[in-house]
Amino acid sequence: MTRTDEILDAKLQRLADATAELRARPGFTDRVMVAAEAATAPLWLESVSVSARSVFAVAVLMAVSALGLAIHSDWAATEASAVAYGTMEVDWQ
Amino acid sequence: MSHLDQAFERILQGDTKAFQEVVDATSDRLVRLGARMLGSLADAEDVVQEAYVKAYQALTAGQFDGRSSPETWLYRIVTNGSIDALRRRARRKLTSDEAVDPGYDGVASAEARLALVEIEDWLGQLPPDQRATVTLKALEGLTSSEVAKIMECSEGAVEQRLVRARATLRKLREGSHDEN
Repeated sequence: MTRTDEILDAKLQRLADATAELRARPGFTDRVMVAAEAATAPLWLESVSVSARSVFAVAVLMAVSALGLAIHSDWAATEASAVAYGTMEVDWQ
Repeated sequence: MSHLDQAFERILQGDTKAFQEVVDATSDRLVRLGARMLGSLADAEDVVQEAYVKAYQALTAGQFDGRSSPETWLYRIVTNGSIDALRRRARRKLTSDEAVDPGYDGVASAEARLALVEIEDWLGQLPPDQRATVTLKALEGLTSSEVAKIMECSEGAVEQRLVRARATLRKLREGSHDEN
């Protein structure tokens, strides 16, 4: 080990000793807990919104099917009422 | 099983209140590590808070696999966060000349304040991964094996980074002596 290495090691040791008493400022734990709980809320909401998206897609599909069925039923009813099941000639005299 | 292991176990079983015990037991060490890594207490608190949020999310999602000890795992998150912060700082310095705010707020002694400034001036000239290695080894007093686990690399890679860092620091010292 050279003299320069010894000087570097001594400087590193001095800096380690000088900063050994550093600690978090008061209230740090509370701030962390608030941030951690706030950060997990979006995860919960995200899972809800993911479920909601699939429910929404199914609902849209069902609505489109119901609309198609309603149009078809309406058309069938109109056809049925327009069909003549028998004719009768009226003689005007 | 250590107190920290037990707290982790309880969080994994759904007792999220045990996380406060983890923060209480580790925050001083992690903030000190961050401050040594970043030369600023305020920046260290930001990085450590972010690290705790990541840890909390991972633990509550059951993503802690226990391959590392809780201490090593938390040290790793803070080290990686500090390296990212140093890289962001280096990019910002390219565009502005802002100085690092040590964020003392009256909690650090005068000696610690001066030491943080000195660390920033001196180790701030190293690339972030070398600075992290020197901080963990020389300032935190960890073994090369522990540093390798935290930095997820081989012991050889740790030694190599230390050799390179020492070479740079030696040159800086010789350069400053040439100037004087």
